[in-house]
Amino acid sequence: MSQATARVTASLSKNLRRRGALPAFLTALGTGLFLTVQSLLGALVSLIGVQQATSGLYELDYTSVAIQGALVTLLVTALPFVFGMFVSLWILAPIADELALRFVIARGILAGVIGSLLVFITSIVLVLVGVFEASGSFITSTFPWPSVESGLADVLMSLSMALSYLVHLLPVVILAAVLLWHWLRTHDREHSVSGILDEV
Amino acid sequence: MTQRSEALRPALFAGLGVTVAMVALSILSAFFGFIASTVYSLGRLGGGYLSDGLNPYDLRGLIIAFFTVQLAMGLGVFLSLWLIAPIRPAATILQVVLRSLLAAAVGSVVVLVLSLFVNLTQLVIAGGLTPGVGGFWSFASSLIAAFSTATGALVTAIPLAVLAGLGIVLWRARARLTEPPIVG
Repeated sequence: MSQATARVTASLSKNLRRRGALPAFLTALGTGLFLTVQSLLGALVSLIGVQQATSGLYELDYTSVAIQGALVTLLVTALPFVFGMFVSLWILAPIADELALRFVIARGILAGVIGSLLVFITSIVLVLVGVFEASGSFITSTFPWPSVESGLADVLMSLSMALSYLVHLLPVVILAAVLLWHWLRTHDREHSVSGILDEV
Repeated sequence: MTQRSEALRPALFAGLGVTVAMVALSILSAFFGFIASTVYSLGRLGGGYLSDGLNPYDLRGLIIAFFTVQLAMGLGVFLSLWLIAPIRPAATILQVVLRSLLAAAVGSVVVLVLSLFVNLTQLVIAGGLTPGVGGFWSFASSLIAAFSTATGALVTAIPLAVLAGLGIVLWRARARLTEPPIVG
């Protein structure tokens, strides 16, 4: 048990010492900024539509509803996605200037897949939190437990949402990877980078 | 004139690429949306509201969306990269990105115009465009719907247009490398 722990710790510390975190972080940050603008723009457009369609009908504060919706979307989808992308571009499969374009695109897609995997996990965690909030404490609660069909539906819904998000963001991630690659080709790096994928 | 004819082929490929990619993204999104709604219906509603596939109304909407969004965006990107701001062989990366963004913006204007035209046509057919306040609100609603469609198309097309612009640059660089050397 202690040997396994030591191995995990050693592997973790080795991976955390990998070079090339800054370009990966800036790429993920750029993607995050794009997603933020996209989300706020979407909220603004839907707000204009709702305000126009229901003007004077209800006394709801649509602005705060739309902004809250956009922020929640950013927190539960964009943030995990961007974090997964950062980890992939830093530790798993970094982009180096000597790579051919097809490998850059493949690594960009991989970063997107890792990001959407984190979106899926976050969504599952949120579903579980929602279930236990509704039915009381995890330990004491015996009823009402969610049915198997309902739980499976939640998992499949989360999976479908994560895949949909991946499809939606694939061009953005590939573009970010290609731009990073181009930047690396025009700027000399003092050290070489390698990821877990390069060492397999 | 020569510059324009030189820019025609890359612009055509870029416009076509953006259209094909947008169609592929829209098909995949519709597919995952269909799976999600089916799963929701099976898991939550006991299959009571299970959709029996694509109905003719959905199909009509998809065809209209193809002409007013995906094809229109591709057309705008093509026209911009061919006539308004072609990507020169010696362009820097910043110029490529800016010209691609302009191409996406031109594409979204084409989407706006076509969507507005389709919305107004549907409104006239339905008899909703009447003189007075009601007609004005109907027109405003059509305009906002078209604006919303154009904004959504722009957001989707921006990364695709920039990728297309970068593709043109890389394509030209590769073509230069494979050119036979000049021998005197």
